[in-house]
Amino acid sequence: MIKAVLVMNTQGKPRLAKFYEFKPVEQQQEAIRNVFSVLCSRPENVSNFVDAESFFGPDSRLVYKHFATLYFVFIFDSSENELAMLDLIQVFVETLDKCFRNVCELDIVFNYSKMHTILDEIILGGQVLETSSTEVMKAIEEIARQYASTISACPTVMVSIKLIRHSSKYETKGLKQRPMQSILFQNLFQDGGRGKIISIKLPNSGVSAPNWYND
Amino acid sequence: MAMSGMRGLSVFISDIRNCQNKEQERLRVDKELGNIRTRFKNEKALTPYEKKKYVWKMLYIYMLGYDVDFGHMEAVSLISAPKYPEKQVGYIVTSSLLNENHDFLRLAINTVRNDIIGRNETFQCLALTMIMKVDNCHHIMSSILKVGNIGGREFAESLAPDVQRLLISSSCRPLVRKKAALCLLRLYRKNPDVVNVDGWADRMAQLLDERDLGVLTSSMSLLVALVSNNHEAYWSCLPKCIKILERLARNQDIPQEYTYYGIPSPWLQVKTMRALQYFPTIEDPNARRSLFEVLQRILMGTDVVKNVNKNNASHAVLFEALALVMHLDAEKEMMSQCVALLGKFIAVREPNIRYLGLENMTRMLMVTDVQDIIKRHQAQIITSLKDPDISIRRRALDLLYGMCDVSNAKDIVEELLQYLSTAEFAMREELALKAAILAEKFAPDLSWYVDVILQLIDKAGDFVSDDIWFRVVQFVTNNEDLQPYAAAKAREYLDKPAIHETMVKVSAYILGEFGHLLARRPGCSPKEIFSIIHEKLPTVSTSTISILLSTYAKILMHSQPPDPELQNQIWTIFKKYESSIEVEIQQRAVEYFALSRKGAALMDILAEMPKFPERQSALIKKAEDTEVDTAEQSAIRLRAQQQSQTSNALVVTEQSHANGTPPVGQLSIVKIPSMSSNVDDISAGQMAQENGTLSKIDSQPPSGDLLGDLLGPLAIEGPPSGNTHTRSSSNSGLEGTVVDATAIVPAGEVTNSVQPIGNIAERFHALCVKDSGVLYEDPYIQIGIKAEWRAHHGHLVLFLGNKNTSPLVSVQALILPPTHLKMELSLVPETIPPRAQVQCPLEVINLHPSRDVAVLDFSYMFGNDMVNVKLRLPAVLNKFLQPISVSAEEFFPQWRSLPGPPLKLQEVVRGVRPLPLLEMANLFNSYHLTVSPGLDPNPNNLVASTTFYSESTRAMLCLVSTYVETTNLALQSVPTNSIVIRIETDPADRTQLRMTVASGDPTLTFELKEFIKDQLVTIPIGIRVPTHPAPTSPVSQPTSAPAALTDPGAMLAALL
Repeated sequence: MIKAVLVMNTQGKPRLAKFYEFKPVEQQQEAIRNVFSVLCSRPENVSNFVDAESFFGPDSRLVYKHFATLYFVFIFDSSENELAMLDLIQVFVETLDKCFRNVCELDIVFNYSKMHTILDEIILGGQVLETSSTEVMKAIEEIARQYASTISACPTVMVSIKLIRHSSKYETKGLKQRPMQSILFQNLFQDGGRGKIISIKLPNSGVSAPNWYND
Repeated sequence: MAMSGMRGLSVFISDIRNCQNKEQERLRVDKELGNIRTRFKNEKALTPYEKKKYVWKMLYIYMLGYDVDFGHMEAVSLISAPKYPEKQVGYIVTSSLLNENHDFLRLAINTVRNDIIGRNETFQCLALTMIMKVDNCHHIMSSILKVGNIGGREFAESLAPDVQRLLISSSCRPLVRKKAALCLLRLYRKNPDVVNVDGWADRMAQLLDERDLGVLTSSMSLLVALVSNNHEAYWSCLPKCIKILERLARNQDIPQEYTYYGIPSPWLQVKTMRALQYFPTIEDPNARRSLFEVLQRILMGTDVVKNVNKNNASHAVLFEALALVMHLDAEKEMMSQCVALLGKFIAVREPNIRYLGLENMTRMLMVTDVQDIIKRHQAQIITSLKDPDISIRRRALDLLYGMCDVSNAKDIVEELLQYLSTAEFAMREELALKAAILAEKFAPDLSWYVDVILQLIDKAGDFVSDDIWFRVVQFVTNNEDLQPYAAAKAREYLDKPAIHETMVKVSAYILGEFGHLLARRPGCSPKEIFSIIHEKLPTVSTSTISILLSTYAKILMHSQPPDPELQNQIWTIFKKYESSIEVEIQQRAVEYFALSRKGAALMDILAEMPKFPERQSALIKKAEDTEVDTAEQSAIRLRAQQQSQTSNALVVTEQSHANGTPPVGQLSIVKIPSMSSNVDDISAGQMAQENGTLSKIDSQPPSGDLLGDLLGPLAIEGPPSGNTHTRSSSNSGLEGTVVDATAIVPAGEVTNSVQPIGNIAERFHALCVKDSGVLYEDPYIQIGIKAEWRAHHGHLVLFLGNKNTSPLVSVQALILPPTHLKMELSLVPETIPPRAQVQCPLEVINLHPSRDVAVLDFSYMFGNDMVNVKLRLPAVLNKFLQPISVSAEEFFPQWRSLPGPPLKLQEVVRGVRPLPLLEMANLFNSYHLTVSPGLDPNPNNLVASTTFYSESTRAMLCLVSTYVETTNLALQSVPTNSIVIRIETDPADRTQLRMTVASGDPTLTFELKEFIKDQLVTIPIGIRVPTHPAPTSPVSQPTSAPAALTDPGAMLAALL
């Protein structure tokens, strides 16, 4: 079964942490730190596998994928196939991408809840629930419809900032750490009717953030 | 997409992102938590929207690593909200936060149930999600459910039919059904009874006909869980699995959305092949053929392409197919095809495939005998050691380690050594250990082995454990040819400018022992060796200083005629350390100083170390242990995990395994007497302190373990070998009487309703010549014993194993020691948990010679039965004997120097059980009496010698030093404890013989004579002389009555 799903950025800030086995909050944080310290030291063009037994106990495997400023990490046991897990990360990311059209870190920062919802449609209690990103999208859209039918009273337009990258995002390699060159506003989704801009944040100097607190 | 859009949440996240440092972040979080707390206080005033927003904020804060210790109530209450958005948020947040605050959960349970049985499918989905979450932490769950007055199991049972109904219902949408499948899997893991095998097997088979791939994938996961527990019931699913595989891999009959980069649902293919691996084999030739056809297609039809994702997907399927082929034990042709494929993979550009190629090759080594084919790829595997990816390097190391044998050991180990200097720290320890093990296991010659280990210490001293260099010393000491070579090598390394402390230790030791063999070589005079070793002294730690002191003493001894200058130098050093704060160093300094003034006598005292007894390498043992661990297949482990989740006791167990067992192991590690035996005694003492170390009997005994052979029989599955013993004992009259005589011991316990399994007396006699075995066994308990004897010390461990599923209570163990033994039993716990084993160390010190036997008075309660047994402990005279072999030159002067009674006693023994001379010699050897063949000119006579240890002799030895070669000393300066025996047999009448025993102590002579007589007259049936597997047919003897009287155990029992 899958033990945990972690999403963190290249500075080690967690963007999503879901543990399918009980772990107290301190241990969760420690695990995140450990994983990050291993991942950040890995060069490019290496495999997607890392020995995880030292920090997740015996019979743990870890696969990860690096997209732009984010690491997607799955930790699971030997009952799962490693490459299949890697494929599942890809499905997760592709689904996020379909949802956000060219997903970037900021999308998932501000749409934290949505990422949770998507993940819950792919993995259920540590087991693979759905592997087709089309099917996941259908489920998500259905949830969205449920929302729409109830929230019509409170229309807002969520505007978020897109960081455009140059290479195709489906490729693991070749796209890492490209400086973000331009920023554009993208209307992500509308709840219908009038909308207003609620938050805008312009990264002041592209990707080279001065300290780890700036994403 | 409309699930977001909470302004407050976005603002909060922005604020957090704007924080410049952790401190600011914490302030902001605290402020927010304060805010939420106040708002929650007045819950009524909150709109559902606000509540939802705050709950999301809490989850965000929780993810950042802050403890959120309130507000769970609000999160849970959202679940029962009527509207979907609140409900959904409630489910997601509760499931993430609930781990700690489970008390609130029971509030949710009813809602969950209602949602499941309700009509609303989206609600059903959510509720199913919840069960998964709830079940995630089901140890907590069960406590909640208790509060909620529904047992955990009952809850699962009551819910399971609902979930099953959802799964098989044709009216339900796939979205709900696939969740129901996983949910059922979860409930099944928690309580296997929820799935009624009889009814469900057919349903399961029907489910596999499902057309919807989502439901099918989930069902397949469920099937994997079911067959891993009980494949028998699901045979009917096997052909269906093959059909699914055919449908996907051959026909590619699959909807577009489930095709992933051109591969028909790789996940389903993988899961299906996993399920097939849980069936032991496939008998049906048709099924087998069609399966192999598909597998062949997968194996052959997969190429490495440019697209990374396509590669990953196709190889996920491919590697699973490989695993299945290995499992099915396919024809050799297909196997070699697999190896060829793997050989291709480990050379491709794609790192993931290289990684898995290496990993699967390692797995292949274990499964089949394709070693030779794999060896062809050795060069490529060695190249992988230089891969930029540490994950791949690790796998390459594992594979090299696994494939190493005599033929390629030299190449591989040298590669490893070379790699050691460039390897990163994270890998060095493992690398050093593996190189050392391989060098030892497969060394083509010993000098190469010495080379390797010295290089190892030189290159990675920090990572070379003591075991490794102890082992070198052991080899060098035991192999005379090797000594000059090793000494020369050690000398070479000392010339290096900076060497590791371990190198100082090993060189100093070797040069101290064998440095004199180099005397003629340049730069190797005692003086030069001394000065180069002494150079290192200022930089080393105290443990090394003690070794250096011993080395100096040895150098001094070897420099004959004495060199006054060197002597003075060394004496000055001894003098200096006489006041050392370290007791060990101080003692050595004082003793060596005193000894070295004895002149020529020093030669005897500091003679060369005797050979070490052959032992299995502690390293290899260690390695085997870990291999047992890693070789366990996932299915077994999965089950073990499930079991461990239900019992907390196992957690304790694992710790005690980790802390309790190794010290015992350590004791058996290559012992180097110069390495301060006091330290070892202390550690043994500590061992004894940690009494009552609990260890649970696993379903699988730790086979590689030192205690494995003991635990093995304890892994009780029905009564062990006892029956055969009883049968053989009922054969002869003589043996019968012995049994009777000894049966007096437990005979007082007529009330015992429990009958022992096996013959107690027999077990005792067997243990007199063995050091480990079973002392006693009945249907409830098994008492094993493991002993280590060193001089007059004995370190015994009693293993009390409860064979039942209920605890044994009022356990009491009392030792009734005879006067000549000092015995100390550590505390025995009053209760032995079900199927657990308790270890009780027992220390024995021998004060003076005697044949009396210690008795263990053991009692326990099982149910209402009080069981009490009195057992003789195998701490008998011969345990304190240490064999020595003497030459004729030594034997006869000594023989003559002991004039007659009371030091030398002679007796004609009649009624001896007739034995061929050779067998008698073996019997003597098994009692640690070394028979020296050919010493006596008469071929019908036997002469034997041995050394006896008791506290009084030990005291003398202690005075001398721990370093002294004890047996030599014993022979020459303390004749009291060396014993010589002569047996003269009459070839015409084998039932009588004349025995002469001589030693320096009258009591010892008498006791030993009586002891041997007992053994000769009533040779216990338990003993099978090891070199003679064919037992001689016992002939009844007339002397059984006196035998019974002289049986010390019987006498003692009579006193009791």
